[in-house]
Amino acid sequence: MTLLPTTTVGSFPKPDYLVRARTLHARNQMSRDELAELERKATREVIALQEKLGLDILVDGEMYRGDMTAFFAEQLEGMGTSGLVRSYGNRYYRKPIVVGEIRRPRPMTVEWYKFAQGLTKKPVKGMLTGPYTMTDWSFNEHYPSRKDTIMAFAEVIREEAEDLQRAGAQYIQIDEPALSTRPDELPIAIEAMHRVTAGLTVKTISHMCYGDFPSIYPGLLQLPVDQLDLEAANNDYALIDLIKTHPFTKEIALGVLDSHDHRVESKEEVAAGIRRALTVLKPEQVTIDPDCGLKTRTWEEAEGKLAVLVAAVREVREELARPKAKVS
Amino acid sequence: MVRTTLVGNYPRVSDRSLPVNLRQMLHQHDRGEIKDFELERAYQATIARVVKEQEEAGIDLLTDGQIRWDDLLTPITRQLEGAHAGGLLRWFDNNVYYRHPVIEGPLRWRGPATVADYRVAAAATTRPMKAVLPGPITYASLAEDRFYRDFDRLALAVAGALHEEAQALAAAGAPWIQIDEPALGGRPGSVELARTCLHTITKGVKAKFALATYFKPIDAIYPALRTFPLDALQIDVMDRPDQLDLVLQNPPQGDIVLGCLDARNTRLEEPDRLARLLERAAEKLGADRLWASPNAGLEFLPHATAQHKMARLAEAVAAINGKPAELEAR
Repeated sequence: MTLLPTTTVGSFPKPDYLVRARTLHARNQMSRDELAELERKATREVIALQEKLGLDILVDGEMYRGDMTAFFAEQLEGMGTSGLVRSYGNRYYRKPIVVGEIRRPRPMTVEWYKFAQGLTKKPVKGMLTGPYTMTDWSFNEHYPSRKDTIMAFAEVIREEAEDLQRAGAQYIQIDEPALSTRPDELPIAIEAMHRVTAGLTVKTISHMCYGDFPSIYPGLLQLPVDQLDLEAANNDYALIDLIKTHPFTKEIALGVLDSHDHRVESKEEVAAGIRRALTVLKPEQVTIDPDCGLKTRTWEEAEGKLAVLVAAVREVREELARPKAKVS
Repeated sequence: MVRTTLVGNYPRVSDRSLPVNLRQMLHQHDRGEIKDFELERAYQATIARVVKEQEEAGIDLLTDGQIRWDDLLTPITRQLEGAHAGGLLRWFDNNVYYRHPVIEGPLRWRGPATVADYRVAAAATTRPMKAVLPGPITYASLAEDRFYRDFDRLALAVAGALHEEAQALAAAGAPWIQIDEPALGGRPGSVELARTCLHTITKGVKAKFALATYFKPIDAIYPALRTFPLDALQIDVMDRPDQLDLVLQNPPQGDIVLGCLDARNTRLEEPDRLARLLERAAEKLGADRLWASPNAGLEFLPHATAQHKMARLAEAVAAINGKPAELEAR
């Protein structure tokens, strides 16, 4: 594989027609089948966009998902949905509730993985939400402790990961954005991730964001995945100083675009960020992506930002290919 | 008699159909479909509703539900010259966000942030009302300080502004003012600074002051905290049962508010367990200086669950006091 492969974190903006369709479906004014047809149409567009941009490792864009925990909670036994809970401002979500033994009656993401992979020759990542985040972002009325809940989620996510591997996925990403919220629970999160990934032969990745990484570094490096996907752009590459305190011993997917800013970065600043990161990381261990999912951007912003990312990576790749000038 | 109170915030919207749908009104206001005064009326009606709900549940000391607050810090930030609300960050270990204050100049209080809503809430009930403010240690620890570049100076400047806010609240008749310091437990080194800040805030203000701790363990700061000049100290004994022993062995100076109901999980508490806990505390501390409350604001819960929990709290306390909840009204 070429140096500095490019990818994205997972979600893409939903096209307007899909946003409207989801609203209609929620109001019982559109059938599940009609909505699914539009979800497939949007997925085709997302795959086509990524191919056009020249990204190396693709995602299905999560056109069929609302929230990263609710999507799984709705398909698992033992889970219910609460009423509206506020996340910020006038934004609310229905937080899942663990009400009984968590079981997976059938695969949750495999059909979508197969559909997306069938549209491209490039690898498409399987995308799961990790056991720690599923627990942290759900109410629990059933299990006696957080650890019991986390391990119960690990069991079903393990089953899903095995099914994705069997279906041909080469990359499985198990997102843990909640991981840094309670540093004292890092050992439990590691144990749960071990349950999910032990024995898998695919490349495993875990994305986390908006976290207090200094509080869990370098312990975080014990998380049993091949690659950690971390944000850098939105905090001016604070990660670099952290890595100076302890070498980064895994592969890293480095977030070089601020996913929550409308502004399209310049090629120069993104390339400069990558170069800075390469002062503490080996090119062989680095993948380049945005800080976070792109679902809150407009389609145009997402396209503009990713085009810059690809162009900046090409520039840095060329520099790396050049024979090094002798330092006198 | 053991009394009941809430920590502060309360669900603004509901899955039930309510006379005023604040969420929808806010959307309509964003789209320019309703006027400012119509939104204002919706806010006020919502505040009155949450006050009534607390009253009907049998809560003794009420809050305005912090209905207009997007987070604990921003309403204060907006009233501070020298500060503005920055980007969203995770609110402690919750899947909830707040705008972090960005400090760019000397802080100066521009006028009251919370008094108007206090008045609306107080007008909706005959019961006493508690106003809630963020604590200076929490505010400073979550701020991006580009001006003072010194934690103590920033915290003291925030305390100065909060003193003016507290004075305005007291002038409006607020009998109780609660200072929320969720961050303090995680900063044991700042506990004496917190005491100094508290002096600054309360000096000459004619109101009772409570300090609320939650989210973080407080064992390291408790020895200092129990000697703070407070009318009431709130401590989480639900998520952290050990903290009850701490309080029982060595009670603080003023009243004790036990956060004995989980504000962050939908599972309902067993009435028996609640009653046993409160009885044990009442025996040791005396019922008259004991309060029962949730261990944080109820807005982490859906509305229906928040109502259930609040009712359960009031029922448990009424049982201890030997009266049915509905006769509790004073």
